[in-house]
Amino acid sequence: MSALSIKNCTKSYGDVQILKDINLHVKKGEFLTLLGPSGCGKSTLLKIIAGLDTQTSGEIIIKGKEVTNIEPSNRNISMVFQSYALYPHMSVYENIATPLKTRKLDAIQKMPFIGKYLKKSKQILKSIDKDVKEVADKLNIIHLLDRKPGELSGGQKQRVAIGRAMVRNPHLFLMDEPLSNLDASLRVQMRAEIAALHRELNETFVYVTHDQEEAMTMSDKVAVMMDGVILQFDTPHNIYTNPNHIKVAQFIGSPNINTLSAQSYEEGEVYLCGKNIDFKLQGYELSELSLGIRPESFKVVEEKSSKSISASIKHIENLGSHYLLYVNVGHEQNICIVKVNDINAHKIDDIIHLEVKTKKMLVFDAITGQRIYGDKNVKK
Amino acid sequence: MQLLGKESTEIKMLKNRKLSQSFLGYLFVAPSFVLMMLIIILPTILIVVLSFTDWSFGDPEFAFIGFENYFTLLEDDVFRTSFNNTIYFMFLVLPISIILGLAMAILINNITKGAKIYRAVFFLPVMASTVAMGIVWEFMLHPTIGLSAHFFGLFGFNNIDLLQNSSTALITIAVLTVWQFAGFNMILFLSGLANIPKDLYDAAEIDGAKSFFSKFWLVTWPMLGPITLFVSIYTLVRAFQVFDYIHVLTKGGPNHSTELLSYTLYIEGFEYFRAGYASAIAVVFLLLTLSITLLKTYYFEKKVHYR
Repeated sequence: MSALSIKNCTKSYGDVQILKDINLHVKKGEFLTLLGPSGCGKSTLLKIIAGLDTQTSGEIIIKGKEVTNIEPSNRNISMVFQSYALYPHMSVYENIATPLKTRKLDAIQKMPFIGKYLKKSKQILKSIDKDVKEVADKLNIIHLLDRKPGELSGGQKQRVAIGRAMVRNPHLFLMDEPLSNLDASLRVQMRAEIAALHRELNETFVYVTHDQEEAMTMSDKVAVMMDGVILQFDTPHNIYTNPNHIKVAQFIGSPNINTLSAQSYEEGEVYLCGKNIDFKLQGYELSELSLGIRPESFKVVEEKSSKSISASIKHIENLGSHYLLYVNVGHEQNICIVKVNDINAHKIDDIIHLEVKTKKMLVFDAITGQRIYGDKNVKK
Repeated sequence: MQLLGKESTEIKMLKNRKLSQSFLGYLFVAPSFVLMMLIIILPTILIVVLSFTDWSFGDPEFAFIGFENYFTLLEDDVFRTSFNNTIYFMFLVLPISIILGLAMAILINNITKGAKIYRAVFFLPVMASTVAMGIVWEFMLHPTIGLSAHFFGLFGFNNIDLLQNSSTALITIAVLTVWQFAGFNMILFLSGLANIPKDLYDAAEIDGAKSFFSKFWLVTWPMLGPITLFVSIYTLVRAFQVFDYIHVLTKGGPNHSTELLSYTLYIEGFEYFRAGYASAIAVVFLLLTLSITLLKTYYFEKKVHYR
C-alpha cells in the first residue's frame, strides 16, 4: 500500500490550469522531492496534499484512505513551512505542544487559568510534557524551550518548526521549501540533518524545493514539475543521467547541460555542426534533433579529427578542482561549457578540438523535446 | 615639549570640532524645542501653578492658596459625579467600540465583494464633524418628530426622550460615541489583520484548530495584540475627551448625568471663569491620562510585543 497516492489530480483557478493530471505514488518511508522552478505548481500540490487547498478534480489517497473531504488536522500529516509559521506569542515549548494540546484537551480543559488545574487535564499535560521534551532532546533544542521565536536564529526556528511537526508522529511530513530562508552553509548542514531525521523516523516525507542540489542529495525519488505537469518521476540518479525530456535535462545539473541542434541523415547518422560524430540513430532518419551534452561529456583532443568539432575559448573559470571552458561552437556561435581537469596551457581565444562522448550524450526530439532512445547505447 | 604642544593643539581642534558639532545639533533641535516649550510644556506648568491659586479670569490679582482647590474638588458633588461619569463612560465605550470594530474588521476581511463599500460606510462617522453630527442626532432622537420617536411608537411608547432621562442620557451619548469610534478602530484592526501571515492560519489548521474560534484564539487575537493595545489606549484617551456631543445635546444634564470631566472643566473655566479651580480639574484630567499611558508603557507593552 502506498503511503500517498495522487490520482489524476488537477487544479484550476478560473481559466488558468495550475496542475494538469498529476499522478504520484509514494511508498512508506520514501523521501519524495517535488522539484521545479517557481510557479510550476509544486507548492499548490503540497497544499492540496495537506488539505489547505482543494483540487479541482482527482483523488488524494493517504494510507489507503481517500482524504479529499477530510480536514487537514485529521489527515495525520504535518507540515513545515518556508516561513516556519511559528506562533510568535508562544514559547518554543508551547509551540511544540500546540498540536498535542489542540487534539488531546477538550474545550473546558483548554480554558485559560482554570483548565490546567482540572484533574484530567493535569494527566494529559504531563504526557504532553514528556513528548515535547523528548522531541526537543532529539533536535537539541532543550535549552531553547523557554524562549520566544523572536529570540531564535533561523536555524533554531527551523528546528522548532520540525519539532512541532514531529511531536505527534504523523504518517506524512510535508515540507515547503524549509531551507530557503537559511544561509548557504546552514542550508547544507540542515540538509544533512533532515536526511538523517528521515532515516531515523522512517516515515514518508514530501519535500518541495526549487533547489536541485537539495533534491539530488536528500531524496529517494524526485518528481520534476514544470508548468503543472510532472515531467519525470524517478530516482535522483536517473533524473540526472537519464532525463526523459529536454527540460528536465536543462533544469538538473550545474553548470547547465549544453544543448546543440543536430540532424540525422538517411542512414541514421547524426551530424553535429556538419561533422559526423560517429553515432547512429535507428528509426529517426532525417530528423531534427537536440543533443544534450553535459560539460563533462566533452573530450578535448589534441588533433583535429573527422568527428571532432572545433571551438574557440571565450572564457575560463577556475573552480579549484577543475576548470570550466566557455567555448564558441559551430556557425551559430553557440556558447558551450566544457569541464576539464587541467587547462593544458589553453588561453582565451585559443582554438580547441572537442569530441563528444556519445555514450553519455542525450538525444532529444528538437520539436517535442522528448527523449529519443533510438540507439541501444542510451536505452533505458 | 614641542610634541606635547602639538598634541594639545590637536586635542583642542578635536574639542572645537565636537563643540561646533554639538552646537549644530542643538541648532537643529531648537525650533521644535522652542515650539514644544511654548505650546505644550509651559502651558502645562502654568496650569499646575494656577491650580494652586484662586485666580479668576480677568482678575488682576490672585493669591496662592495651596491645595485648597483640590480639597474643594473632593467635596464638590458635581465634580465627583463628573469623575464617576467619566470612568463609567470610558469603560462603556472602550469594550463596545473595540469588539464592534474588531467584528466589523473580521467580517470585512472575510468578504470578497463590497469590502471597500462597507469599509467606507463604517468609516464615514469618523470623518464627519462631531458638532454637525450632534445636531443631526438631536433631530433623530427628538421625542416627537425624531426617527427614534417613530421607532418607539411602533411598540406603543410615546414621548420617549433618551437625552432628557438621567438614566439613559449618558448611555445614549456613549452609543453615539461608539458609533463614531468603531469605524476608526475597524480601520486599525483591518491593517492589523492584513499583517497576519497566512502561513500561521495554515499551521493552525494542521495543528488541529478547526473552528473559527479556535483559530481566532490561537492566531488572530494574539497576533493583534499590539494593535489592540494601541486601539485601547487611543479609545480611552479619546473617550476622555468627548465634549462636542455633550455640549450640543445635553449640556451636562439632566441633573449632571452626562457631565464628564472635560465638560466640567469647560463650565468651571469658561462659564464661571474660575480659572484656578478649572486648572485643578485639568491637573486631575492630566494625571488620569498620564496613568493610562504609564500603564501602557510599563505593563501592557511588554505583554503584546513578542520580539
